[in-house]
Amino acid sequence: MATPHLSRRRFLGGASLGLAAAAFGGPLLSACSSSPSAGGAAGPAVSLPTYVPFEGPTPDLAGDVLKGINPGYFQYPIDRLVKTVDGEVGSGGELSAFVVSFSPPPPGVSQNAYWQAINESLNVDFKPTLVPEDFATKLAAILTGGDIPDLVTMYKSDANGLRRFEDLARERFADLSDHLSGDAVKDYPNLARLPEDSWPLTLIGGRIYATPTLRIPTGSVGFFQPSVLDKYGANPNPRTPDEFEEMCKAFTDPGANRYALAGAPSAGGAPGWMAGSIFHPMFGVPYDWRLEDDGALTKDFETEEWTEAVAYVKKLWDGGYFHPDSPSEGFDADPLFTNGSVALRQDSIVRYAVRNDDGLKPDIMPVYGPDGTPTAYEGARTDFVTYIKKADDERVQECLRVLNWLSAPYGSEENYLRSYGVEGVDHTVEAGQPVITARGEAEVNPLCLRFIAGGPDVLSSSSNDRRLVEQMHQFQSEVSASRVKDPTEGLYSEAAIAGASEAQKVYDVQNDVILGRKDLSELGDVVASWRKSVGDKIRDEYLKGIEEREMVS
Amino acid sequence: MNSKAILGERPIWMEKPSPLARTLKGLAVLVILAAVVFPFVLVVSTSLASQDQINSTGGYVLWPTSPSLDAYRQVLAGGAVTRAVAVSVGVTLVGTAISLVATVLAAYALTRREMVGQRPLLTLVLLTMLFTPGIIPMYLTVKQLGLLDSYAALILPAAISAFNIVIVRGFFQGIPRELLDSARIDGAGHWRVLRSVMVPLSKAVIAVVGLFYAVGYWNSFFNALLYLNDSAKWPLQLVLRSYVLQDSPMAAEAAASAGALPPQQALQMAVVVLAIVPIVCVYPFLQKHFQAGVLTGAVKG
Repeated sequence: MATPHLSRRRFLGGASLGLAAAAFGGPLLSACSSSPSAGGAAGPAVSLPTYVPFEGPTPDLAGDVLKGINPGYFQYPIDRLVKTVDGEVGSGGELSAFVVSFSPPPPGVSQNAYWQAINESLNVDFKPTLVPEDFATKLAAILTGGDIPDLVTMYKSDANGLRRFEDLARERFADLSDHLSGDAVKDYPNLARLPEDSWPLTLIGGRIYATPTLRIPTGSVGFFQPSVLDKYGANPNPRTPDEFEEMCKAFTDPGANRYALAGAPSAGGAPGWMAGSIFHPMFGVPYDWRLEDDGALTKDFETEEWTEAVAYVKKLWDGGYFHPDSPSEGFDADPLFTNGSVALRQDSIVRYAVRNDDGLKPDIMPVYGPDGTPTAYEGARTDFVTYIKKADDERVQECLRVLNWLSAPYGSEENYLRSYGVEGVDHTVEAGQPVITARGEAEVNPLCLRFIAGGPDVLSSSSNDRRLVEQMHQFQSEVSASRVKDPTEGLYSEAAIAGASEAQKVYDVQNDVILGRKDLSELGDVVASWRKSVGDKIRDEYLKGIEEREMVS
Repeated sequence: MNSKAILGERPIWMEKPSPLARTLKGLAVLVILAAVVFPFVLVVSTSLASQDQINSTGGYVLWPTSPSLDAYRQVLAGGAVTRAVAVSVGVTLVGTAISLVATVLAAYALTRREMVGQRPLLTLVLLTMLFTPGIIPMYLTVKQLGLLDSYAALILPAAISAFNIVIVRGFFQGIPRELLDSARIDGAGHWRVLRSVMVPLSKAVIAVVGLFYAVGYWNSFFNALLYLNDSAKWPLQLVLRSYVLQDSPMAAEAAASAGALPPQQALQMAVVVLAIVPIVCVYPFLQKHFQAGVLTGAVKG
């Protein structure tokens, strides 16, 4: 579950909006299709930006981003920060941005020291449009309305949820290929330090239309509290499905309100049931799709491994190891994990490195694949993509300089300001570690700059917890050789959008099978009907996308 | 119109129920009441509880052991929530006033049979109850009117509801024609009739429709999401959602990987309390008009 999945409601909303966007975009686009600029699909494919790694402060744990291992820092390198941007960035004018938000809104610029400092460093009047929900709806509205902000940041999945997004994007956004392709990117050193495999998601018809924002690609993992498992004699390192079941059995005691597992059922096209972080890798189920040696594509639920995994989860549910509230809407296992009533919690690998108010010291439970090696799903390195509004070269370059500044990596002065704000106001420095203040909490994250560019591409801990960093690094190193990727990550398939409800039908039957409402044998039928109605079409579209992508890289 | 009849006083032919039946009725009322009050108690208690207690009880707290107002202090400290409360109150007051005036005028006009095109106009109004414009066309209209990023965008697109016009019109039709005729004979024009006869006699329905509008404005967030770009103009409900809705698995995962985790449960519940308190305060004063107002409108269609 490393890729963000849309909830069902959002997805349906997005899909119907896509229709509306297409309907309204239609006349506009057809009017423009005769102009050569809109014919991007036919334009020549370009080479990806050259990768020039950042030579910053030496990490405590060396990384190899191409192998899925991020460098780790035990302590913030506050006295070794490097300046990465020289010369002017903005031209003093307004710069608007459109970006998703997961925070309460920030205080206005006049009372916001962080915002003021950013405006000064960038030499712009930064005006963000923060979108706390229904992102796809608002995106469709601004794209059809034509009021495009200078920078538009989105999940590629939100973009893919809009029909004819690629046509709209070519119409509304600047083609950045000439500025970024190959060695041209070296004018923007902080963009050049983004590895080549983070760029494919920014391509439209083989040309570069956006800049990527990085994330830690390791997906969700299973966390456990060693002391809690120990208390009940549960094995914290189960190597086979049988051993895993024994662990669940040892821990679970409904009388004492104790359950090994808690995971929501499938919804919105995600498999649910903690499958993405534990059970699918355990049984060797492909991550969404598998590219076979002969070049064929197989969907996860078309494989026998998937059926085995479903049968196994059903066994665990029947055994009573899942918290009985798991299937309820809005069930939150977080407090139950914290108080020790639930043994395993599925969450982003950086969850406890980012914030750890409860003082928990959880460990990561490794998952062993069928061949006995530790394994995990690995998501895209690219979290968000940022498009630039179509404009003259000068304006596009200014926007790129802003993105270059915002992309400054961990260990740079620019990143320090972007992540921690103004010293003494937004953060204080305690024993060499910047600690964000309450005011910083209200000012820094809510401005959402972190999504527009840059990203956490190192392992570090905001609570300065060395053990957490070592643990994440160790996990990444262990699964490096056997990590499973989704070959269709970021690819666009019209049929997949139109047919999302067909895929959810499969998951609905999966839920029913696990909960004992349907027989395991019914899985085959619903998968066959998915294949017939949309599956084969999606497969063809993805195969075409994979082919196109290979031509570029 | 006898309000006692509506409120259910026992007809003369019915006997007084037995003590057992009365006890059972009382119990039933209590159970229903508890079912309604329980979530409120849960929300208020959780907002006052400490994170430790929330963790140990598994998410919600029925009775805070060491109640504190920390969550409220934290929510109000940033300034975002206080500003949003002001926006919401302003939009609700101004919006309700505009909506009421427009609705009463429209309803009055639509009761006048002598008005040219009254029938087609009424049909047109009713049609809007059947068809809603899509989100994108609405957005484009608001944009073309130059209302994007303005408070007017929170009010005007939702200012008139056909449903409320029908209710008010129904009520107006129930007012005896003779009253209006005598007013006309005394030389009153339409304005005068509306001001001095119709409105004073329709206080109940106007209060109810006003409450409908006010609750609608207070609770609406989607128009703000769609039409506002500047987060400083967000109304309370949108700010509230930005606190509370991060519990969805997708948001949680994305936010965690992005270094932003959802606020704590107590904080979320404090915002919920702040959002429901004003409506809860207004409601009791308007409730007495409620049944009379709605029922009268409803049966006269």
